[in-house]
Amino acid sequence: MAKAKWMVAAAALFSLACGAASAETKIGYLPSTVGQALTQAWKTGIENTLKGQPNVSFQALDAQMKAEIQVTMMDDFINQGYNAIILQPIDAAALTASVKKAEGKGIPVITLNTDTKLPHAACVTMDDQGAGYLVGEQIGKALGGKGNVAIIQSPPGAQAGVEREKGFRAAMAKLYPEIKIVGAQNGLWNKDKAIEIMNSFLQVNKQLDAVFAVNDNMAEGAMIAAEAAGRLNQVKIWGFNGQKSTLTLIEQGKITGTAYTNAYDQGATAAKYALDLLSGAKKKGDKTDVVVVPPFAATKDSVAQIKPEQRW
Amino acid sequence: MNTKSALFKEHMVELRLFGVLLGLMVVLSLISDRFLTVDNLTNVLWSVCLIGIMTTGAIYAPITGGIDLSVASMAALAGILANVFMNTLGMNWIVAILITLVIGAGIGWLNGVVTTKFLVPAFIVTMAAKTYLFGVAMLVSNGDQITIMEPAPFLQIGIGKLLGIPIPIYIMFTLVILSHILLKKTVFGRRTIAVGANEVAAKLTGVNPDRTRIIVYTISSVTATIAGIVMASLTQQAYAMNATGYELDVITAIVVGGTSLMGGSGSVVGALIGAVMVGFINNGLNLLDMPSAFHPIATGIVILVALIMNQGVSVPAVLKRWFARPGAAEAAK
Amino acid sequence: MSVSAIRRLILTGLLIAIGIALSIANPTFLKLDNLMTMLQEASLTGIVAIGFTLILITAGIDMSIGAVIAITSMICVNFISYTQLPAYIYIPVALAAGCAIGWVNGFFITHFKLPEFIVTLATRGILAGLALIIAVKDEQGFVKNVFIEDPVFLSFGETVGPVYIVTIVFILLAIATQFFMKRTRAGTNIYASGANPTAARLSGINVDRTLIGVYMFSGFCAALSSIFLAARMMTAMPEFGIGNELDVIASVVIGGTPFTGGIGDIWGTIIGTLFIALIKNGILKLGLSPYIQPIVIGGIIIVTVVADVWYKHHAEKKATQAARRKAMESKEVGA
Repeated sequence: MAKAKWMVAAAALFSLACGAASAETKIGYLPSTVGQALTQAWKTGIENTLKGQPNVSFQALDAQMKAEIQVTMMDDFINQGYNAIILQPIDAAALTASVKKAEGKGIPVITLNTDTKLPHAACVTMDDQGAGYLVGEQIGKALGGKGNVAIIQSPPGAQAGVEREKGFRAAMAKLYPEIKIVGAQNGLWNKDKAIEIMNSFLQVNKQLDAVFAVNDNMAEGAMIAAEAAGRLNQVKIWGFNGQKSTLTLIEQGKITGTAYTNAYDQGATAAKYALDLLSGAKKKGDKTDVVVVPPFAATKDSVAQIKPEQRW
Repeated sequence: MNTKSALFKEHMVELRLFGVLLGLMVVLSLISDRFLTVDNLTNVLWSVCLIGIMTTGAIYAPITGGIDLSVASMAALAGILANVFMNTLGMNWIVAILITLVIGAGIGWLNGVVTTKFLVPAFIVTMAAKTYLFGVAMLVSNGDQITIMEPAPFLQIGIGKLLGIPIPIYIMFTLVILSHILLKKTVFGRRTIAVGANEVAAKLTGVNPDRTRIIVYTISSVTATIAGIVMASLTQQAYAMNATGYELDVITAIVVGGTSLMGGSGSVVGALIGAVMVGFINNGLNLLDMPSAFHPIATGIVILVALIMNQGVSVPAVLKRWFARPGAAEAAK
Repeated sequence: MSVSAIRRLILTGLLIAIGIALSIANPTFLKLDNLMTMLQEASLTGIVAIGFTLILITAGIDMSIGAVIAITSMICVNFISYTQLPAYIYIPVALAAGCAIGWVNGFFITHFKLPEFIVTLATRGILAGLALIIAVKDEQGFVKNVFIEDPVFLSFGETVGPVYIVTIVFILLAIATQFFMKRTRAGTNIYASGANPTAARLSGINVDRTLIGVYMFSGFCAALSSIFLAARMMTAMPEFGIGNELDVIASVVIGGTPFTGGIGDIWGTIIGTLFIALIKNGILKLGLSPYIQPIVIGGIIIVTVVADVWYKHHAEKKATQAARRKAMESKEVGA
């Protein structure tokens, strides 16, 4: 009799252990907003990578472009016991505390594009500064080294946008010192704000030769404003990211170029990194492991090289 | 009675405002030689359009002593709905616009009913509406920034031009004229003013304040819907976060234009002048290359100045009173 | 039992019921970490709501609270970036700034007789713009969201045991304010000024001074909340607080303080604040789309106000019926 009881207990424990081992792995995705082509593409890349994995569940939340909301949602992921988080911080400083909290509880955080101030598992980023420099080179060359250029910026704490602008300005300062940067305003990553700002640039500067908007949404906004003012053929507009609608506009000659990154790949890389960390294939270091995804300058001549399935 | 001076008196508010506007234009043209160009002025009018369109309908609520805070969310939702009807469901764009207008009217009607029949203050109803309409907009659009690339005739509404002037400007002026006539020359207009000025007296003369208010909030939502459709067309985008904060600009225009939030009087033309004034000030700041952070500061100062002027309280009298208050003399010792 | 007590009881009952339902649906809700984080969020809103309650009691409104949060946190980071002054110097300066802004609001409202809504809307715009202008910028002119590393300042974001400091401060401030409102002359003056300003003035109350005081307190509460917010986020952004007004308004209104003024208390506000925090946390725990949050909160506000108005209407009707009956009875007796 005692033996049977012992066997039942053992069986119960064994199934409990099995249950624990096959407990679901929860991965969370928290971009600044889900409403943009870039963040959607990341999501697709992540989902495709996680699809094949057994017992992995995936949840995406929308921080609606507000840092306070993003912090609250990070808390929620942490409190609900998520195993890994893929985060696009709205602001480098504001999300540092949350990332620290998560890492402190053993939840690896992989950031996309914008990094935070304290070390964590990894950051998978476009080469913001390098690509910004690239755009600077392209614009400078197209303008023949002379002219008026304006910048449509990102919100101040969005490190990615700041880096892109820094790279751009570095190229201008070093290679094309005669090009004047006549204006720079924050477009909030948004199309309608960019229209407003572009209108302002066009009003203030009778001669405006080029505009660099640090993301494609804003570049498309600039294009609308320039077209409405009848000055589209006088202004070369460059964006950043390489979303599908912008690539089409480049083919149509309305936008001059963009720094394309394969966002599907970027998302997939982040997801794979998370899985590797959870399975032990990768180990966390003392510093944030920065994985750079290289850019590609897409212009009317080169855009055909980007295949349809790579367009997001 | 001399009709000329009666006409003058009736429009004193608008005339005074117009004078201020002219003065502002003089100052701005001295500050920047680019101000007084056709290009620049057209551009300012274009940027004021959306607010202007919303104001033509939103002004009725304050005239009845209420307020409509939901106009901005309504506009954003309108753009999203129009896009869903046209592009997701494949309807004809005119039909899509008509259905969206009907929905907008329905929501305005609902606001009016809740505030009149359920006695919930307009401030609360429309503020709650502002938030849940935003929620609905996010739900329907999934939070996406949807690019609208077709149908082409729909896009013409926003970016098309007639005789060199953008179509939205025509829409705005048409609505201003219609609203002005509605307010000053029709029975309904007089009823709205009566309800705001003295509801009890209005009731005694046979006006039904509840019905008047319901129509008022319906009108407000309809113009907000029109603005939303125009906005979706000109930005070529349907996005729940578009038009964020516009309701404050609308209220600014209305208040600067001489309408009291207590009700009983109002001027559509005045509101338009108010909107244009704020547009000019922002334009001036741009021409001076000042950072955009100064815009809300300028708007805030303009509101306070306009309010003080409208209230008729003299600043020197207030300051004198402040320094003469009991205890000030001892405190100064 | 008084109406407000019944109301509070119903709300508390609802709170508990929803809490139980949530813990069944998602057990992680009951984790201590989650409850404490939820309380932390509630307290950040709640501190502002305490000041707002007083404003509603005077039948006023303050739309500038979000912008006060933004600018006071900007003041703090300016001190942190440009001076070596310790936290116990610049935090009081920030709090004083909140009071000063409240004073300006109150002054315009009382001495120029301007409508509260529009005045505070105007100051909101001015402050929001100022916040961007005084934001700390780096050599190239980019706004730098300063990463705060001052341990004294950061200590405001920490816990005593499992409870966050901000929660403790919220409760203490609530108790102190409730005591002030119910047991001091100044508190009674506030109720009187809200219920009937003319009568208040006639009975010798300096209504203007009372109102200015209330707006100063509201500014103070917003400034206090911003310190805790900045400590939690380890930074301050010029966008902080802007757009959070609805949560504050909802907390106070649901708690039973109506816009018409004259009545209301802090207990109601505490329950209202917890209620809103519960709803927000619950939506996330249930895996529902966070987009329904504004719909739910907007709906709750309307339902609450409708219920309150209906109840008042109903109570008035009953009172008139009772008075009429009494008058008829006394008539019969007198006959």
